[in-house]
Amino acid sequence: MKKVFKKHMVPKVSAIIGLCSLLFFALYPRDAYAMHIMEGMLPPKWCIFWFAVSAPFFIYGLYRMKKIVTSTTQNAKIMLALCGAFVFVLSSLKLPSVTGSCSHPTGVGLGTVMFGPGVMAVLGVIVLLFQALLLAHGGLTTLGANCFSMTIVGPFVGFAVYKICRAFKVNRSVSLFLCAVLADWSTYVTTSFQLAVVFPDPTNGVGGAVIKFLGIYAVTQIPLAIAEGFLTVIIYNLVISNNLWKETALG
Amino acid sequence: MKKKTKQNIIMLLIVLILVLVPFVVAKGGSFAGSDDEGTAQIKKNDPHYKVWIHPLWTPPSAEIESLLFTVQGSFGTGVIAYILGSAHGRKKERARQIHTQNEAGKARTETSAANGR
Repeated sequence: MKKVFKKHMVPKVSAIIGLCSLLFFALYPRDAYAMHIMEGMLPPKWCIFWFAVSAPFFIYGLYRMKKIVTSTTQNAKIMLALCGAFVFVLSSLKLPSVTGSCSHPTGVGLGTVMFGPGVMAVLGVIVLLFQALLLAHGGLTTLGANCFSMTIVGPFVGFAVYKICRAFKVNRSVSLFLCAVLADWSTYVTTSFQLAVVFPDPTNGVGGAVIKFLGIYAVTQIPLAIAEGFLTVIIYNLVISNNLWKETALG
Repeated sequence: MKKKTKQNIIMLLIVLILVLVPFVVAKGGSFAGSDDEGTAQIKKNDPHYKVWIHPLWTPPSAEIESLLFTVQGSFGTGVIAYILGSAHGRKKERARQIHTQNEAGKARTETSAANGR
């Protein structure tokens, strides 16, 4: 009985939080953009820097992926495909936000919880490459920086959140929800910092620029991150109820 | 209805609300997410910055771009639906087999009981 009560509390509490933030945004509508860093928007030395930072994580991801593919865990490969497909779907959904602009979720939370943070570096790069090459969305030179925010910081933050929640005996669905929300949100927070360091505010320096970029990226992302959290839990529920994955395999 | 299904539907409705509410709340917004706006924001901070490289290929129009985004999304949806659908079918099949096995087992015990008599 208590468990049922808790599960039904989650959507309610989130709805209340959502409504409160909506009231806030209603008073401050403004135009903003919120996407990955576009082609050519980072100077060459920063592009190289972010590639260098992301590369070790990508290699670690390949190593982890090889281990999963060769492991005997039931449905491991199928679930890997599903997690990749989930990132594909969610990053193609450009959703409207309360700030009056559009952005898209990242979808890395699901794979992070199932396989750990490393694997998402590989799955995420596939999606980012697709978007950079075919959609002129993001870019090849900024791939390193976009990878770092979406496929490295996001999953690692999400994974940490999930582990902490589980350690405090938080319900599994709630932990997954928080993992997905914060993985998504931290991606855009990272993007804000990445841009602010390169383009400091003329009067207020890097700090001023961080606030400005956060206002654009992170604020827009809040409702989308919450939506992503719910979608992640829905897919996870379907996976479990169809015996595709054992809940205990998640740790 | 199963509890999980109910939970899923509630969550789906919340997502729907989250997507629809911006149109009511931010009426003045342009709902753009364009590269031009991004460039403008960066230009404001650093007017001398020159975009030094351009995408190798840009979709020729907004229609083509939305086509490609749709392809991306539907590809992913197809994969997810296939995996979940086939798993659902397998689960049903297994349940059916267990059911028929039990029926057969019951019948066998009944006949052996009858023979014993």
